[in-house]
Amino acid sequence: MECLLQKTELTNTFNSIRTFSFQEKKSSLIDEEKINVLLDTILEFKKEIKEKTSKIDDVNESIEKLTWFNDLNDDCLMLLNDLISATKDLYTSLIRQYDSMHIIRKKDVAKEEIKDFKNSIDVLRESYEDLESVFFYLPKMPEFIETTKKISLI
Amino acid sequence: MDLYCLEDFKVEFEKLKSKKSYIAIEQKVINYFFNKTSTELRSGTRLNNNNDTPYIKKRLGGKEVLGFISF
Repeated sequence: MECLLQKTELTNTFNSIRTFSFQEKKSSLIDEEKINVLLDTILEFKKEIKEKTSKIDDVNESIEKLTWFNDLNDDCLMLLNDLISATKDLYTSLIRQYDSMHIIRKKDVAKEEIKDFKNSIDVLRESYEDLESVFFYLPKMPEFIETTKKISLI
Repeated sequence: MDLYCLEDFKVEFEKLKSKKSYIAIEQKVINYFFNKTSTELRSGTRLNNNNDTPYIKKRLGGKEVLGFISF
């Protein structure tokens, strides 16, 4: 009786391994199509983030150029104030996007691209803060006026 | 080319130079300011409202090192 049970167990195990072995022999080690889809998605993500970084860099450059404007009237200053607010808004959206990438960052996917993206976002913040300082705060700051005077005397 | 600076800048520069993270600052300043055209040097964020003696914020190496220049 016991021998019969053992034989059944052996046969079942054998059949299970046999089927599994046959299936695996037929399929390749990795599903190439699925891997390709995954790699394509990563490449697309990298491309999108690079394009976005480039757009942010363009904005940063445009803002830098605005600091060379002279003697703006109140209409222009008001427009500038709106521009600063819009840039702050843009910064908030971008930094939220960066935060939402924490799972991807943990996995080291698109590491360099995400790092460049974050650097450009940081510069964007600095750019609108500088713009605000240049036209609204620094001209009234006694220490800054004093330093510029000293530098012009060198 | 002669470069001039305020005493405050020298003090701050020496302080930074002694820090490990700013070890390359001297070379960065040399690379950035020497053998450059005035157009190249007159770029960046201008902090004061003056074209004759612009006070410019310079980004010497990524976001770590910053400098200021005036003409």
